[in-house]
Amino acid sequence: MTDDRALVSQVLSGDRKAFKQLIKQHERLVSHMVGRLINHQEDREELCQDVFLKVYEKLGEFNFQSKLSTWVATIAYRQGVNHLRKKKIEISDIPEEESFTAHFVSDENLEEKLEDKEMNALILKLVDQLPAQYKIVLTLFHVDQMNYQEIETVTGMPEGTVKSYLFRARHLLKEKVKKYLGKEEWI
Amino acid sequence: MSTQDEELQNKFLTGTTDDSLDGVAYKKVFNAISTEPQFYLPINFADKVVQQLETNEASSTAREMRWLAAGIFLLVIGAVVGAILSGFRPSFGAFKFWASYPGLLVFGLIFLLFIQWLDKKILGKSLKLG
Repeated sequence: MTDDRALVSQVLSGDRKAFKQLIKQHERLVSHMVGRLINHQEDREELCQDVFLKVYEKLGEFNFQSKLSTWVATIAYRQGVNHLRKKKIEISDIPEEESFTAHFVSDENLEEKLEDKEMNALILKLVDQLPAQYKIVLTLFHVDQMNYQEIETVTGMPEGTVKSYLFRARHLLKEKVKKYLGKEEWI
Repeated sequence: MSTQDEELQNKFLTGTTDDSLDGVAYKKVFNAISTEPQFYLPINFADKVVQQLETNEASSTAREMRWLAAGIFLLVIGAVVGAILSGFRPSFGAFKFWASYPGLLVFGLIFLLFIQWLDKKILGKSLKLG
């Protein structure tokens, strides 16, 4: 936190090197979030750039109530959600959960047999098909190692919702993977 | 979604494994969702952001200057139109007064400029710091 204070103070005094350091410290976190939320390759870098420009613009409002990384992630999340809204992409809860679940874990397009690497890629493809809120909580929790409270701060969702989204997303993915594994057993 | 699923997920979160079909499926899921998304920013990304920031700031300054010039222009036009419509005739009585106190005039100008500079330096900084 002390390092955060020193860095923020340097950036606010107009030190460009300090701002570059801030970007380098947080670019992986932002790229994870944007990379998971946005499918269009050409939009991703531009959105990451917009996130850091917004960070620079709003840095004077950062009050050290959270870690700097959590605050940066909050901005990345809002920018990502705004981008999806502009593109009219669904960002709320899973629509009509039962039918979505049935569709998600259906037997359609099951391949014959998958190597581990292929299975990994397949699961990540399935993650892409999940609603944005599910993708973001999965990424923040499993890739960026954020805890429930931090994810609550970033997304504004209550902790219970975060836990529920994580559980349901993993459950859906597991059900689909089970279909593949079940198929392998018959081969 | 069952309690058994919850227990299995909690097991994986604490690093324990399970050999059941659900357990094997969860293992694959946990492995996959812990991998980074395949999107990497270029090495010079930070430089590009700073460059963009400087471009934005320059264009913002240019825009402010254009607004200032437009304001001054409109002010002059307004003054001229006002003078014509009201039949205003300039009188230099006030300037004659200032000619008697040149030191006061210079001090006043310097003081005003100093206040402006101080305002920009201190107030601007404190606003930015929140």
